[in-house]
Amino acid sequence: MNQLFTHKLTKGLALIGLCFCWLVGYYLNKSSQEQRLEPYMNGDNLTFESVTANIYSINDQASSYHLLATEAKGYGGIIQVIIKTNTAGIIDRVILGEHNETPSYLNKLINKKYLEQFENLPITDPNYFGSVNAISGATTSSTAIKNAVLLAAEEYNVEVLQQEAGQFKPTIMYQFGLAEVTAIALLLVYFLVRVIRKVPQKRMQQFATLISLILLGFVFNQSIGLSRLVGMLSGWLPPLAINLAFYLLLGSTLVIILWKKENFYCQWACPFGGAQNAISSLTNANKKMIHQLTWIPKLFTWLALAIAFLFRSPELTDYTIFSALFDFTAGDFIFILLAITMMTSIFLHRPWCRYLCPVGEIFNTLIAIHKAILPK
Amino acid sequence: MLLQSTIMGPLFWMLLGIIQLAFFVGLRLFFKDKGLQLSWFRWSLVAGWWLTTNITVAAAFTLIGENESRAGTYFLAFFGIGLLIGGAALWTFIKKPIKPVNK
Repeated sequence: MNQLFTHKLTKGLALIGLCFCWLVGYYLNKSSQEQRLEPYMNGDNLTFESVTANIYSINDQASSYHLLATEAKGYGGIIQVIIKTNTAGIIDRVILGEHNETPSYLNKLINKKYLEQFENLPITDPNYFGSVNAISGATTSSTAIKNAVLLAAEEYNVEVLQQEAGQFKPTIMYQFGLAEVTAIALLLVYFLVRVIRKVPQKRMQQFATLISLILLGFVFNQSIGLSRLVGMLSGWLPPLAINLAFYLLLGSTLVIILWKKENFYCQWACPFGGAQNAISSLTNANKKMIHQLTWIPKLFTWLALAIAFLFRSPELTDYTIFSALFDFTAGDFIFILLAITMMTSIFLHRPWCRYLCPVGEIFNTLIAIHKAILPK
Repeated sequence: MLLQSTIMGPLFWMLLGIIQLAFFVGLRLFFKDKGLQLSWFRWSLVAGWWLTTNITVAAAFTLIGENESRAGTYFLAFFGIGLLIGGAALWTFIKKPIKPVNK
């Protein structure tokens, strides 16, 4: 009884701690538009005037120009974009402000000179923005930046030039392809096993995770990472149009948690789980659970969430190793963690899922909450 | 340089050949000790795995020697882990008894 009370108290305090971190982070990281734009105002005897809340007219001895502050939802949350235009409305520079995008994706934009595509485009004419192409491999981030520029252009034309509203529409192209088909197929396999009892569950599960490993993992690099979940919990929903597979996986997992109290994603659709399953079945890894280590994912997940909420930075504490395996893009620490995990998979069954994964821990916590509320 | 030397170079390769031979003789005794009987197919898998491991180590250290230490380390880590997993899978496979052929 005493131990049960201690468990409940710990869980309650952990939840309150997370809420506290979220609130502190929310209020501490709010900065005014002027503070944001200050680093980009250079020149002697500079005077500036606020045209709207997001547009500033700057005058110094040499020149006068406009600074437009804008933002859009990217992969890891809000990307702030600053646009410098001359008084004729020609874009001089597009500068990235604060953001939480994965550095490797952002490097792709920089290496392929994505921001330079906007230079010398007239902010007054929507037709020119069609020539700005998204960067493959960093589609979410590049589309977000373009949408941010389009939003700023709309505000500039409506508020400053008194033009008609609705000329600059952000690019919304729903991407439904093989990744989405795979996510639906995995869901269908799950339902098939649940409806038809004679279908061998273990075999089908292995088959599903193998398909997920090949298609969702290596081909499309679609997995539910911690940074995305933290971003969503912080209120930054990734754009639906280009993240359909992600929403399908997450949505179906949440529905199945509510319906069957089962972790669909980890057991049936996680590509990294598939990789560990493949190694385990090849090497006959030990399937016994080391119960003394089950506190590790709980502690790590709590710390990762608390720090990410506090600094409002989903990427800060994301230690998930999926992109290192499927996209070969990660920092040295993540690569070392991946190497250790892969080698441990030879001896232990799904070591990452059992002793480290924060995503699985979040889903398992939701199942535990559901079971606590509705035991039957 | 050892490998470019007229006398030491050939001696080095001879020594390496002896080590390779000793490895396979030792491996044969190890399998015998474990009570494992290997078919020609299983032996060729083992030899293939060993050859790949040798090439991987050689290639990685060549890269490191050519001042590409980062590339060498990544190469060794990437293929080395793959080979470790492959080795563990191979060990699981050769431990399985060979099915008798019905004549």
